[in-house]
Amino acid sequence: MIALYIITVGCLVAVNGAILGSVLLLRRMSMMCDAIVHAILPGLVVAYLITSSRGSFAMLFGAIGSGIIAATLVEFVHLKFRITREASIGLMFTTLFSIGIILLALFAGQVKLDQDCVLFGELAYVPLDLWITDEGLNLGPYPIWTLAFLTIGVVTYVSVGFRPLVLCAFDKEFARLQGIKVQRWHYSLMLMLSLAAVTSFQAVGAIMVMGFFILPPATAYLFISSVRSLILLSSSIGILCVVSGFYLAQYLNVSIAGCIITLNGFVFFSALASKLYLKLNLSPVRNT
Amino acid sequence: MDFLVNPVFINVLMGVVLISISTAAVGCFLYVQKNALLGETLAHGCLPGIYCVFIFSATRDLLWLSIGATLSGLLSSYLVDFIAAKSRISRDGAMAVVLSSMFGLGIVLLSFVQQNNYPNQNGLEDLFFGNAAAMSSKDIRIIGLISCGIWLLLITNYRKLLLILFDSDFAKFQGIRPRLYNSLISTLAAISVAIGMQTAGAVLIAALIITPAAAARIWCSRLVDMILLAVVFAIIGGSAGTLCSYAAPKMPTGPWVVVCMALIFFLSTLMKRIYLASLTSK
Repeated sequence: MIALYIITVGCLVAVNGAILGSVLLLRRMSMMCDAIVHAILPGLVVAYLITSSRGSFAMLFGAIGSGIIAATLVEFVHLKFRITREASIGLMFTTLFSIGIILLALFAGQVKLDQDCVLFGELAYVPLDLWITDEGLNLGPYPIWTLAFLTIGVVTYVSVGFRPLVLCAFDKEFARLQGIKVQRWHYSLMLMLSLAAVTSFQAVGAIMVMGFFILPPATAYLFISSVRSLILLSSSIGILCVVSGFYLAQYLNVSIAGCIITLNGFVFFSALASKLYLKLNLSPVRNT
Repeated sequence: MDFLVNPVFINVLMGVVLISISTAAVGCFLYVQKNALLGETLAHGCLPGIYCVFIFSATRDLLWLSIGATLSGLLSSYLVDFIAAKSRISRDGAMAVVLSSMFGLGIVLLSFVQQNNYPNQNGLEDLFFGNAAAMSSKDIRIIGLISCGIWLLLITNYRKLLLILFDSDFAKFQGIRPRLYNSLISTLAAISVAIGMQTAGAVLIAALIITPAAAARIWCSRLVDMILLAVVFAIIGGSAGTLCSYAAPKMPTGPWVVVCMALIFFLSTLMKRIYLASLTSK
C-alpha cells in the first residue's frame, strides 16, 4: 500500500510537470520555473505566520501571491531598468528567497516549516500524512487529493488555453494581432506554476519539482514537434521514471525524489546521445 | 564597537568580502555574455563533485572540496554548451536540464552519505544555505589566494576577453581563439562559485554573481568601469550583510548579504532615475 501511495503521488506530480513543463519549454521560460519555485518561500512563511496552520488555503494564496509578485518584478526590472532578462530573473528570485530564509530565521520558534522540508521534501513521508474522516474511514494520503485537484486544474487550464499558449510560444506578434492578451496569459501561466509548485513541494521538495517540470519535456522535445504528442510522450516518460526510480531508490536505499530526478537526467542524456549517434550514422548524405 | 576586534567577525567579514570581489568581477563578464544565470547552474552543478570527494576521501578540507566542486561545475557548464549546440533545446532550457539533473544526483549522493553513517559528515547540508561562521583562518587564506589568482588571470587576459565578448569575428581574425577564452570565463566562474558556495550557500551564490554586475551596469558602459564599480558594490554589500547578520543573533550571513546587495541595486536604480530627471529639468 505504501509503495502504491508513493508512486501515485509521484505520477501525479510527473503528469502536472509534464503538461506545464512542455508549455514552459516551448516558451523558452524554463529558468522562470527555477525562479518561481524559489520565490514562493516568503509567501509561504508569511501565510504561515498569519494563519499558523500548514496545508491550508492560506498557504496556496501565499504561494500564488509571491509567485505573481516575483513574475511581475522580473518583468518590471527587465523593462524599466534595462537589465537583461536572465539577470533580472536571477536578481529577483535570489532576493525573494533570501527574504524567506531571513523570515524563517526571525520567527524560528513560531514557524514549523523546515528549510530542508521546503527544499528537499521526502516522498517517503507521503504515506504518513493520511486523511482519516471522523467515522474512521481511511481516504489515503492528503497529497494525493490535493495533487488530483491540481491535475484537474492544470488539464482544464491547458486545454482551455491551448491555442493562446502555443501561439504566444511561437509568435508573440502574430498572437497579439489575433487579439490574444499575451500579458494576461503569461501571468496566468505563472499563477498555475506557483500553484503547482506549492502543491508538489510538500511531497517532493521545491527544487526537485523543477526536475519533474523540465526533464521529461526536454527528453520528449528531442524527438517530437507536435505539442499534443510532446505532452503525451513527456507524461509517459515522467511516469516511467517515477515507477522505476522508486524501486531503484528502494534497492539503493537513497532519497526517492533524488533518484527519480537522476534517472530522468540519465534518460535525457542517453536520448541525446542516441539521437546524435543515429544522426551521424543514418543521415542520407554521408560525409566521406 | 567591540565586534570590530572579534576574531570570528573579522574572519567572516574577510571571507565574505574576498569571495564577493571575485564573484563580482567574473559576474560582469557573464553579464555581458548574457549568461548571468550560469552562476545558478554552476552552484547546483557543484554539489555532486563535492559529495563525491567527500565519499572517496572523507575530508572536509576546503581546498579538496573546492577542487571537486570546480570539476563538476566545469562538467555542467560544458554540458550546457553541448546541449544548446547539438539539439534544438534553447540555452535556457539546457541550463534548467543540467541544473535539475545535477541537483538530483547531488541529493542522491547526500542521502547515500547520510544512510551509510560516514564519519565527520555533520554540516554537509550547510552547502545549501552556507555557514560563514564555520570558516577558519586557513580557509580565508585559501580563498584569498584563489581570488588573487582569478583576478590575475582576468587582468592579464583582459584585452582578449574584451575582444571575444564584443566582436568575436574580429577576434578570430586577430588569431584569438573564442572557444579558449569563453571556456576561460566559464572556468573562472566555476572556481569562484566553488569557493563561494561554502559561505553563501548553493542557493544564494547566484546572487553574488548577478546583483553587483547588474547594479554597476546601470551606470557604466565601459567594461573596466563596470567591473570596478561592481567590486565596490560587492564590498559594501558584503560588509553590510555581515554586519546585519552579526548584529542579530542566529541570523544566516548569506541571505543578509544577498538582501543588502539587492538594496544597493534598487538604490542605484533610484539614484539613476533622479540623476536623469535632474539632467532633463535643467
